[in-house]
Amino acid sequence: MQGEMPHVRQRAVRPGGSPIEKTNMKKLKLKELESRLQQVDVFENPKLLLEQYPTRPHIAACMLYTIHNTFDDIENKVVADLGCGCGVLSIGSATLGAGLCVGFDVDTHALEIFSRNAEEFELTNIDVIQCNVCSLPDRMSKTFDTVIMNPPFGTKHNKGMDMVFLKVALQMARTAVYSLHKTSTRQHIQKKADEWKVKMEVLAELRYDLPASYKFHKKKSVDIEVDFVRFSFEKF
Amino acid sequence: MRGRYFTTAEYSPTLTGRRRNQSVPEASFLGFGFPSRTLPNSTPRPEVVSNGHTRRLDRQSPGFRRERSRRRCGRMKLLTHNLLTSHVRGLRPGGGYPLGIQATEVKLSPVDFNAQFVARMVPKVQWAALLQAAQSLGHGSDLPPEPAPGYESDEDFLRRLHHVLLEVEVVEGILRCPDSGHEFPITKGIPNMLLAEEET
Repeated sequence: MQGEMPHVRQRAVRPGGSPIEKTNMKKLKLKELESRLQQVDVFENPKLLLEQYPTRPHIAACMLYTIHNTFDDIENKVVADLGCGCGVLSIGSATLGAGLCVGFDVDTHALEIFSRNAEEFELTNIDVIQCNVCSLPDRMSKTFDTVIMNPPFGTKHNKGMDMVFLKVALQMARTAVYSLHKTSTRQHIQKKADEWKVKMEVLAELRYDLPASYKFHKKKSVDIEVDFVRFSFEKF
Repeated sequence: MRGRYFTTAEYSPTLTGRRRNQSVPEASFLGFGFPSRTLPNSTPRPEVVSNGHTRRLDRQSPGFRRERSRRRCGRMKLLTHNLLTSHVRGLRPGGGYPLGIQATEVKLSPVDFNAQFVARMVPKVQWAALLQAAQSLGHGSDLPPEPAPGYESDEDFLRRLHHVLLEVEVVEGILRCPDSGHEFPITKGIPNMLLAEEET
């Protein structure tokens, strides 16, 4: 698939319109990160109920690159990846020098691929825990510096799952939560963010190129509009 | 996707370079190398390109198969353990922590020392829990009962803490909830914190 399908359709654009990558130098490094992440293995048999679909390397690289360079929330930080799946985001943040990156997922099969990936990349600052993100207790609150996640969008039989993930993430993070959410739900999320007294910033609008991974998908791939959002606890 | 090129049997998580004392070609050998200063925690790996996809060179090296089977597992670090809480329902507030460790297999693996990170972790870890975990794995003597003031500049202390937090890793064992006694298995380094429906 890597060779056949150049990922030209995903483009990260700031709401203003200027691409995330600015200078040539930075662009080069972003490319490096992306080509690294292209080597991450993804789901062999994605499970519909868990809404398993891989975060594409381009999107993951853009996200991590922004988090790392603009907000410095990865290097030497303790990072959690909720619903890590095969771990593109975890591996990316570990590669960028996280002190420790911990992936959380419920699916044994995905976690096997995750740990295989972690070994393949020879990363030593990465760990994984099998658990149900929805039942992560309040007691684990404020244990991580940064939470990075690509949550299920809550569209397939599990409505509202994205908000459950977000709530757990906000409990766990000390500094910031980075997440992907469907653009169509932006207002709802903004309302919730106000309610929970967190600051919400849309960092980028992405066109998420969702390849047909399930049998019922009729088209080869579908573009969905997704916001890359940063939630933080700074005062308004 | 790579799954297509490698069957499970020939899948190759490998250990190269630094840790195996092999000589690793310069990153530029790959043509698109990653200088290790921009990407810490990773070693450039020897690869060859054939038929349009990359293949690891050291697959042919002696002892490779043994090494591969040895490495085919994850591990749980004590820093991760320090963050973990049991979430059996109905525990007293603040309960379910720290989880007791009963390890049947422990491994030590070298991790790059990062003084800044370790020093930053000192006020953040639950010291008593860490001490207890380290003791149950036989590494308790590495740590003082309390971090001494001025630990930021005490490299010896930071190195020992680094060792306990990141290099001592549990491969197989059990985590036990101190309140309910519920046992969570650790298999291949992955703690399984899932509970059956009625317990959550």
